[in-house]
Amino acid sequence: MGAIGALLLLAGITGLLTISALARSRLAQATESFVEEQRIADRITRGVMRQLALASSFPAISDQTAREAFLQSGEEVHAEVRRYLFRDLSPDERLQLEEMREAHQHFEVLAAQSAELYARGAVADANASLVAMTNLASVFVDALDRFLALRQDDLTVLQRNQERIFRGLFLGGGAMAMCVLLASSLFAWELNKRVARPLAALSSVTERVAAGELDARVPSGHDDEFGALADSFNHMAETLQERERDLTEALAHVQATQAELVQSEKLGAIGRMSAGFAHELNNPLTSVLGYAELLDERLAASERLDTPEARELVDPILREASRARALVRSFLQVARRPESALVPVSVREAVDVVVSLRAYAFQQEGAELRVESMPDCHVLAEPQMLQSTFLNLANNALDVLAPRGHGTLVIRGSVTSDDELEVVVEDDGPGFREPDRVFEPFYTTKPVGLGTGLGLALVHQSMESFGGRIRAENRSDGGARLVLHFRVVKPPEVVPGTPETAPSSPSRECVPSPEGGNTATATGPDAGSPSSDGARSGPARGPVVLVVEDEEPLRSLQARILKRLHARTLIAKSVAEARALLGEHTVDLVISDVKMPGESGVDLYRWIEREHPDLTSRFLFVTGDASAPGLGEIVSTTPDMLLRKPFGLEDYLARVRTVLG
Amino acid sequence: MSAPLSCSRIGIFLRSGPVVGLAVAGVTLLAGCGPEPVTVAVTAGEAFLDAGRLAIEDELAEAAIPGLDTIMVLEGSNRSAPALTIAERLVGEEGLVAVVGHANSAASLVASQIYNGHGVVQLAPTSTAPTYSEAGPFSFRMVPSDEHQGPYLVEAVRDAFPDGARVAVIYVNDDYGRGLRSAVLTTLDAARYPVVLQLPHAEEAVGPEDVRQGMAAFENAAPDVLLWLARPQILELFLPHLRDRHPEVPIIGGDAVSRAIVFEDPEGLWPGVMFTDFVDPRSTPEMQAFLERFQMRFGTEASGPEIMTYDAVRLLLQGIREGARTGDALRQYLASLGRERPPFEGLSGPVTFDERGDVERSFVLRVLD
Repeated sequence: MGAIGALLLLAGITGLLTISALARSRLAQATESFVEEQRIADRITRGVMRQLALASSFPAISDQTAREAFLQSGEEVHAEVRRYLFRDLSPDERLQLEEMREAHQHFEVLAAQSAELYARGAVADANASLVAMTNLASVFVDALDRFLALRQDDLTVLQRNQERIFRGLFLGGGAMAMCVLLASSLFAWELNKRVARPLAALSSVTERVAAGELDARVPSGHDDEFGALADSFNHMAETLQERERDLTEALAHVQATQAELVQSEKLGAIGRMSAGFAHELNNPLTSVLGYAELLDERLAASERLDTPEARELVDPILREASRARALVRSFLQVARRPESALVPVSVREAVDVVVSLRAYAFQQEGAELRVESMPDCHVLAEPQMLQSTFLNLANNALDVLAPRGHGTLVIRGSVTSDDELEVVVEDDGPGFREPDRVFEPFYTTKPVGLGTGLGLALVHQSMESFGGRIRAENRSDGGARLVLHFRVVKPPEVVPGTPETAPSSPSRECVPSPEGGNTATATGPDAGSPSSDGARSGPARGPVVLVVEDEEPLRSLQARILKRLHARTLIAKSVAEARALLGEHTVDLVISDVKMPGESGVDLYRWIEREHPDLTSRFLFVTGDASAPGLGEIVSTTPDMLLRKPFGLEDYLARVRTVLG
Repeated sequence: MSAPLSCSRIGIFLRSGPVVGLAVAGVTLLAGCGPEPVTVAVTAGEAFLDAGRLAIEDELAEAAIPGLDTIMVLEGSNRSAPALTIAERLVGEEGLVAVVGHANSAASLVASQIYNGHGVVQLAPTSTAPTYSEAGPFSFRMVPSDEHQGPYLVEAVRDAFPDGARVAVIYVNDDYGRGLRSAVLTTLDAARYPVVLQLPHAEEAVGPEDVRQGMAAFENAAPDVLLWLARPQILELFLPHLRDRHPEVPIIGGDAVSRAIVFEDPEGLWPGVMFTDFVDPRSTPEMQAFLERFQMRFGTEASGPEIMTYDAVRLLLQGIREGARTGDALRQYLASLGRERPPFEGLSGPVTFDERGDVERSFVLRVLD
């Protein structure tokens, strides 16, 4: 501010000095001119005086010398007078100059007359002319004085003007300096108020914002550009703050997603390994379980054979084979992506099933399983997986509570404001040791042999496939708590009756087989090789079933089971043999393994689509790996085509009956 | 559609008593008004004004000049002071770009500073004072300087008296007479022709006593030849005495003698008087025709000064017609004659100017018969 004021003051002073210098220069020129004119006047006066002196000698000197000297002086005077002519004169001064010149003209004429008169001896007349000449000289000098007086007046006027100018410059300069100083002060004060202070505030807030203090704001209140700038800055800070919040949330989401991806990848890797492992186990397990069931039926059918000792040998086989089947299915479920269709399912029904199944077990261990509340809501889920979810949670709790001999597992549900069903499953046990890790596959705190570490991982995966979520935490008063959130949907108007869509119910699991207790129909001795005649047995003609299986125990097992339907079984060890048999026989049903050396069951199905399209509706895949290439596309529209290994006798017979109609 | 092309006004400043009056008798000829007035003034004696009128009439007869305005000012005195008043008045006129004037060298000289100060071209028809060459860039003249006339007059003396002669010089004690006398004396001194009398007189107020004393001085000096460096009105007072008592003494006058008074000569005093002039009016048919027309129109005989005035006015009007409608443009136009453009062909012959604004021509010696 001070610099601007100083500059303004300097500019003003410079202007004043320039005007002053110009005025002084003009005055100096005028003074110099006047001095020059004074010198001219001096020369003129001297010239006239000389002429007077020469004229006074005319009576004594009558020769030409004095007259010529007189004329010469007159020429000098005339020349000097004419020097005035080319100067910058006023009209009055020019007129005065002409008066002076005319006086000198007459002066010289009279001098000439006087000289002539003296020369001719007319002294009286000559003296009279001389007197007249002297008078004219006075007139001339007076005219010169008046001329000089006019010029002096000019100079005086100029001097007065100069004085006025200088006085004006002094006063004006002083006033201007005061004004400039005052204006500078006001300007500086205003600038400080309007610019410096807001700028300092803005700078301070900018530094705070730059340091991360995004809630810092510039004080507003100005109605000028700085006010607008402050508003803009505050708006920018708010935007930054919002973006930071968004970024934080996005980062958290990314981190969560990343964690989930890690877990998903972990699950995927485990799943892939488990799938391969389970698949390898499936076939022998299917044989063990199938033959154990056949043995069990045989024992049951004969009082002679059904001895306690025989039961003691057969029952463990059945029990452990079933347990192994459940374990393999768990492995496969981990490996399998949630590809099943999600349908509206009643959570309360699923919970009721689990309670009915496990309440007694809790009671046996001195614990309690209790449902406090559960709205009759339908959520989007896969029925079997939903039931398994609650079953896993119940089993987990029982494993914890059982050693303590007491404890309670409480299940309660409520609908949240977000139209979600929140189901809380909590116990009063010791709680989770590491709540953040309980959903990791194979993470378990149970003694070796009591847990696979897959239960809660499966629950987490199922909840994700339902579009819901689950979190684990410890209760403040002790115990573990799992909170599940489901998407609430409208209940279906008509509940489909297919096994894949209908809610599971205890009765279904206990549904007795329509041919339950029927005598198994054994295959002929040529089972295992393509046969066209050895497969026909029984008085009535049963359906012709083509079994395509690369493993002999499973071929035999299925042939034995199918005998119960009085079916004529054609056995093919590969797809090529199957095509050959289909070319020779009319077949009512094709039951095919999927994974086989060479061509797969899917290849066989595609071939049948082209060659025997009427058979596609009577085709059944039997496999332990539903994720086999191409299989999903086929069974997605007709899930009844898929029978999972290891299968039970009744499951197998029920599915075959369904396909055969 | 034909629109008026010029607006011409002729005003006359009439003489009122001994001082130049400024009464304006408006004789205004309105031929129409152009968009930008351009004014030319003629200020001189009556015969000069008559020549100026003829020039304007002749020039406009050829074609009108859009916006032209002319002012004619009659100067009734040979004094120079009144010329200042006239000049101050003229420069206040709207559109004034040029003045033809004034009546004599002294008047032209004192007025020249007014015109130069206002950027108005001054074209003096008869001013021969050497000092006029220094008047300024806007000052031109139709006649040569007395620096040339002085030797020319002395040459005439030497022609009449090749072996030398006693020379009497009577001169008017103004810028004209003093300047011409100075040039004559320098040349006579160089030629060793003794000057036996130098008799000045005032511009005006010369009475019989002055003539008597002058004749006494003349007779006392006994000259062989008289150089008259003054106006003819005073010479007319001396002539009866000179013719009566000294008829053998030739009288050779300067250019100022060339006035109508010497040609009218009702008393037969002027025959034999020699004088310098700028042209011989009877040397060309054009000038002869001009003299006759002038005589017929105004009843007086014209001479070199009238012809110079006529040429001066026509020259300025021609410059304006060719587009020089400001003082500075007209100054450049005059300076360019004989250089960037051809000389002006006037009655007096081709007209050009040197760098000092002096016309480039010589004198002629005329003898009154």
